[in-house]
Amino acid sequence: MNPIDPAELSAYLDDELSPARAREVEAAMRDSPALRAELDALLEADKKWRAAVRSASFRPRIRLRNAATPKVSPYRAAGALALLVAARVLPKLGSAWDVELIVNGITLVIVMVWVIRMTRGDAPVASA
Amino acid sequence: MAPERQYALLLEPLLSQAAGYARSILRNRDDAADAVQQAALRGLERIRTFDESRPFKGWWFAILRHCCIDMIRSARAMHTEGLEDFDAAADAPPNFADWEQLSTAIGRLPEHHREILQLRYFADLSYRELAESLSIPQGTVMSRLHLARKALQMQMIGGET
Repeated sequence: MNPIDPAELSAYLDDELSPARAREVEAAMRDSPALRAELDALLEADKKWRAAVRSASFRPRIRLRNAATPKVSPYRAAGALALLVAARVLPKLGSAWDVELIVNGITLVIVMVWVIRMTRGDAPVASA
Repeated sequence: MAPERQYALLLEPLLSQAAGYARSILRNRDDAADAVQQAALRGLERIRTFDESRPFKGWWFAILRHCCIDMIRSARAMHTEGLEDFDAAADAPPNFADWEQLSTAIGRLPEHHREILQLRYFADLSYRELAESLSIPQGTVMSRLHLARKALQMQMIGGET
């Protein structure tokens, strides 16, 4: 068996040794109270530090612009739709009442897109 | 699945640890949230160049570490109050009862010890992820982390006497 490097005690503590090497470290500790005492000191400190770091974490609110699914701007979509409707319908209109109806319809579409955008947000990854 | 979508899914479970890690460096909750936000966007810009054979967590925390360093440099350049707080905290006596005191004690160590302890404890990176994040071999991670722990232990003993 190769002698135990002190750094391997840290790796043993972190479960980063191969199973075979971990067994060798365990065997060496059975034969060496000093090695065992060193691991115990590392374990005690590790436990204390891990307990201390838990209170540092919190859930940040993160947004990814242009993330996930690339989106067409709702305003542009509404504008394009309004132009399309206007180009097809306006030439056929005969009365002011029809024009008013179309204008109200386009306004309604724009307002709906705006409401959808306000309620949906910008692709949040996580929220607080 | 698009890389951007995959990125969002991989990032989501890291956010709490990321915030804790950034907070340990910046010592301010709002600054930590800003650093995580910046790192999230910076990572998104680079996700298409990410090598999937490498650990994502180590890769992304390297980005976050650089964002934190950039924020500290900016704060130093502007001489903000936050930085004064950061420096003043280094004089507090360590008893390791909470994260701020632990972070203060870690902050007194040399940079290479500080970096590896912050990533190990606040970000919970594995040795492979630490190697990726710090661009060092895994063998170096093992020895450096052990020496850093011993140095922190010495501070703990000094703080308790």
